[in-house]
Amino acid sequence: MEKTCRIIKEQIAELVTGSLPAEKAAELQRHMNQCPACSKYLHALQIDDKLLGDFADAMQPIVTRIEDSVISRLNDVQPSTSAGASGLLRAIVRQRVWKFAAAAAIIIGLVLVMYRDNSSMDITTPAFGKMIEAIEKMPWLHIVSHDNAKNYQRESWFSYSSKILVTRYGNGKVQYLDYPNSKKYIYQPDTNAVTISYTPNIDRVIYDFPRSIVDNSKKRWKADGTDVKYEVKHERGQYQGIDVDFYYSTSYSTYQGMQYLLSRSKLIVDRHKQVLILSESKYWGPNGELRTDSKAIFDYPEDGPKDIYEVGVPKSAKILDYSPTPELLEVMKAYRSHRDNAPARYIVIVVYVNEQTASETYAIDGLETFYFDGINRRRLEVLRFDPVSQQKFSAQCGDSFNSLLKWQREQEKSEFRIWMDEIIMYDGQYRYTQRRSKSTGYWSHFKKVYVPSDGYRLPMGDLIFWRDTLSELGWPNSLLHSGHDRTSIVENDYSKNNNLVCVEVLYDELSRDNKVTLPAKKRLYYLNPQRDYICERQEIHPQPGLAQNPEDWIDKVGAMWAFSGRFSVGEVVEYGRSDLHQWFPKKILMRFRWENPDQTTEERKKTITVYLNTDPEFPDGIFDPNNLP
Amino acid sequence: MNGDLEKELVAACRRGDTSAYAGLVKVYSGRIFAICMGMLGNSHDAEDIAQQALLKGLASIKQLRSDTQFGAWLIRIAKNLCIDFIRKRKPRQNAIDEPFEARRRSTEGYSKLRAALAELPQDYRLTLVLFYFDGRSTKSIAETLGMSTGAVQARLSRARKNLRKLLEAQGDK
Repeated sequence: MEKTCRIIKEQIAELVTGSLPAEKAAELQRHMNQCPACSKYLHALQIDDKLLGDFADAMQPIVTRIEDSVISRLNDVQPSTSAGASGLLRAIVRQRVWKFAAAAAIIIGLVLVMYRDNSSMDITTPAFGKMIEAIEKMPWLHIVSHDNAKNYQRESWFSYSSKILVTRYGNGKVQYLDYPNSKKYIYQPDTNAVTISYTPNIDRVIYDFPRSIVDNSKKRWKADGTDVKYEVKHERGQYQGIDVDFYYSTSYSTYQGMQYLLSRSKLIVDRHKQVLILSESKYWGPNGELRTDSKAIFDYPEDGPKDIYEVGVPKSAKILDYSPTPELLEVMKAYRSHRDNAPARYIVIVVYVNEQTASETYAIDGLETFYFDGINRRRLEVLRFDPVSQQKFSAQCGDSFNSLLKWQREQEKSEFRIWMDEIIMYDGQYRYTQRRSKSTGYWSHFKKVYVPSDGYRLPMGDLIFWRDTLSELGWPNSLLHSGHDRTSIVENDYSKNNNLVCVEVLYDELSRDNKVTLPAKKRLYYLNPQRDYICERQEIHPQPGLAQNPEDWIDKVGAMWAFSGRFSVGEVVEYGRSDLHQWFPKKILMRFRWENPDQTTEERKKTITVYLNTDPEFPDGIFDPNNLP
Repeated sequence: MNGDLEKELVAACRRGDTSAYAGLVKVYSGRIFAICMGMLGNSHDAEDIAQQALLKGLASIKQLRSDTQFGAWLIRIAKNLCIDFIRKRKPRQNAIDEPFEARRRSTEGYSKLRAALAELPQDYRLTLVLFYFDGRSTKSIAETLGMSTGAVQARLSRARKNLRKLLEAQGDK
């Protein structure tokens, strides 16, 4: 086929759709008058067009049937503000609901016990459904819990309907999350200050909703082959003058062939209101050491705390108001929307080159390939090539999408040793991991784990683990989900000179027992509104004296962290455009600088190059776990 | 239907007047069916899921935050139901495995087209089906899928080319 014909054929499809400008259409028509092959192709597409139109018309009776059926059932449906009937439990679990980790975690522990009690409150029984429903319908849930083994205590209030979660920790810290207004209030007793800042008003995955947790754990245990034996006893009785059900559970685990006592739990359920009122549990390690000794008391007040002062924050506390501005909310909305709309069907190959090891012959250090068809994901991660063979690999790889993909596919089949590599697959339900042994070079380790997702989204931990490469490189998730303490839009020379929106995120230090475990830091995200809000530049600075901390923060930093606060910059130096006309970062330059304990400074540079194909032909069986090496 | 009328109907539904929902069903049933057809690849499943989506829209209408967002919200419900359905569908079950009755009907002219559509990648199929089932407007598809019209046009062209290849592979119509 001549080159002209190939180009023309590319445009003929647009001609049929009618999306081609008249001038271009006329030019095409002139060509086709002289070219029988192209003319024949146009004719075939026109027939397809008619066929599709007729097919759509032929489907109309189905649409009418749907209308009739739905309209005839309208009287059976009662709009409801919350999921009411037991049939809707499934809907609750399937939909995104709000994540209230603290409370849910406690409930989950209890529910697992119930689940194990086959004779009574199994998750499939109406009793379980009623309990969850009853708890959800309560205006507020209040939990007081402590763990003697971990010397930890916490009090929480949460409301499913108003989407507010309040937690007071044993050390006096208070966190008040007001999701509908995207506001987070943090009170730190040591600084006697309240910071008001932005929290993303986003739907969270239902991963820790009690029912799904139970369901998932069941499947996970099965997939992992976890060997835990449970004994559950159910009794009826009275507790503080009310009729209750008692559930006692004992579990045993196996370690190095020996069975040992793993846990003992007790939970109490109000038999009439069908809600949990108390739980106690103890967990032991293989050597008999007590790891958890917790107790939680539940009650269901009509009202919850209206502000932080109602949970003990003194009125004298200093207020540091970094409330989200309308501009910030708008930017975050656009950022998230573009992130969500990133291509969801592609093969991407990411090549890493470290400046120190790169030579004139283009030595690459690492390579990562990611296949994504909208549901299935597969990633081959090669963290680092064997330094001895680096030049050889680089020469074999080439520097085009096709040569890199070909090389990577060959490597998967070979037994050749690479420094470290791993294939991870995910099919919407199970995550499969296959790892190559470092010592032998053979693919050996295989693991299958049940990890439910909500459509395209994975639970948080697994999202990080998975790192949907393209989204992460263009729109880092950390801007949306990390536990930042202050987010605002700032203007500086760089943002002004480059027409970028700069979002500044400040993180307070994390400390335990008066020692800083993670120093405070500042991140700057420079977003490019002209390029689908891609994060064009990201800077991470170790930063003293942030949102609330005194300026002598460095004195409190533990030795191991004192020298690791590194400064890093990642910058998109070249953009690419996908077949779908969406922007993506083609080349990213990363720079890291840190201080050593002897106060010398080191700097490293790394280049990340992205090879993207958004119209891929996936190799046969690429998403089939049975086809792993 | 103009925006104001739609807004009024949504408001009426939220007040409990379920009969007002009939008007919304008339407007959206075609598009919802097209989305389900595009995502699931066969009309039998698409019919079931479209019905579910429309009924669920009414059952949950009080959770809708803004009266003007009804269309986008209903589309999201339909897409989520489709995704759930796909996940539950047995592995390797081919999208064209329709019940016997549907298969028999489909032999009346469109069997190869159905098979080719079922083979098409989901995002291509969705765009193509929306184009033909919902008024041949790239602008409307762009709004429905939250993409730019340029991206929709590019995807449509690719979908056509892929469909052509698939039909050719089957020995054409």
